[in-house]
Amino acid sequence: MISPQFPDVTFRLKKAANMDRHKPATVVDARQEARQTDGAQSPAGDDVVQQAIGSQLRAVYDEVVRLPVPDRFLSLLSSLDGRPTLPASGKEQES
Amino acid sequence: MTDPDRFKDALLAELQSLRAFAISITGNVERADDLVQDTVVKAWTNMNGYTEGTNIRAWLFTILRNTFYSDFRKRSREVEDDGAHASRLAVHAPQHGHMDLEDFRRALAQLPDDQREALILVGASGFSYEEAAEICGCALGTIKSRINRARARLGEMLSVTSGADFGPDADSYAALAGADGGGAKTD
Repeated sequence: MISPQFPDVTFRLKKAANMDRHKPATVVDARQEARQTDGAQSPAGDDVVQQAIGSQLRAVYDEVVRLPVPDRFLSLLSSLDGRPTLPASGKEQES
Repeated sequence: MTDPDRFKDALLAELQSLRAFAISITGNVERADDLVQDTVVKAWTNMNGYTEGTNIRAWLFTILRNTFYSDFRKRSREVEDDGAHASRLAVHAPQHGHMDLEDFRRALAQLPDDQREALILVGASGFSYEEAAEICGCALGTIKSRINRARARLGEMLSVTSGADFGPDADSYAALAGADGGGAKTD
């Protein structure tokens, strides 16, 4: 049922299935929505897709940003004083 | 003259962001942490090179990126070869990670490194195009075109691959750094 000429039309995922979950809109959702609001293949539809891409990008990246910072960095920072020395970087961190 | 205490506070406040950016360009948490450590030490040593009132995050990202490309990458390449695949698979989505985002992670991983980097700097880290250009040491127009190409490519890939069945070991953090685990390859 994939039709290369009209990729939009092949997506039948229900937007409703995704609406009540805390997650960014997917591109498929966005295309579906664009089709419903202003027809397929419109520039406005592309905008909606790009918004979905933006929100997914932030969601993916935020998961990484929110990772807890290991203690080694807090020790490193507290060891820094006015006369910085260069600790060896690499495998042998205190843990 | 930079005030050391304020500078240290600022460093502390930026650790999470630095680490995320490091993970996104190394594709490996362990290497990312080494890179962040080198960056923090370099930043501290060169704190007077920072102009107070300017964007310290951009300044730190620039140091981190330069460190990666100048010496870190060479060094880590030497020990990487055989372990690359294994270590990448060991870095999985966080437990709380959205499985719904797997398609997106996979698509992001397939972007050329320079495009993904530009997209992350502007689209996820909140930098302006100008700041991203400065961080990457390239022209504003280059950043814009990388981002446009990245967005267009993601749009294509996600339209085509949505609904495809991806295996359980789809890359996650590593996806932020690309299918080859990082580097400046442009193809």
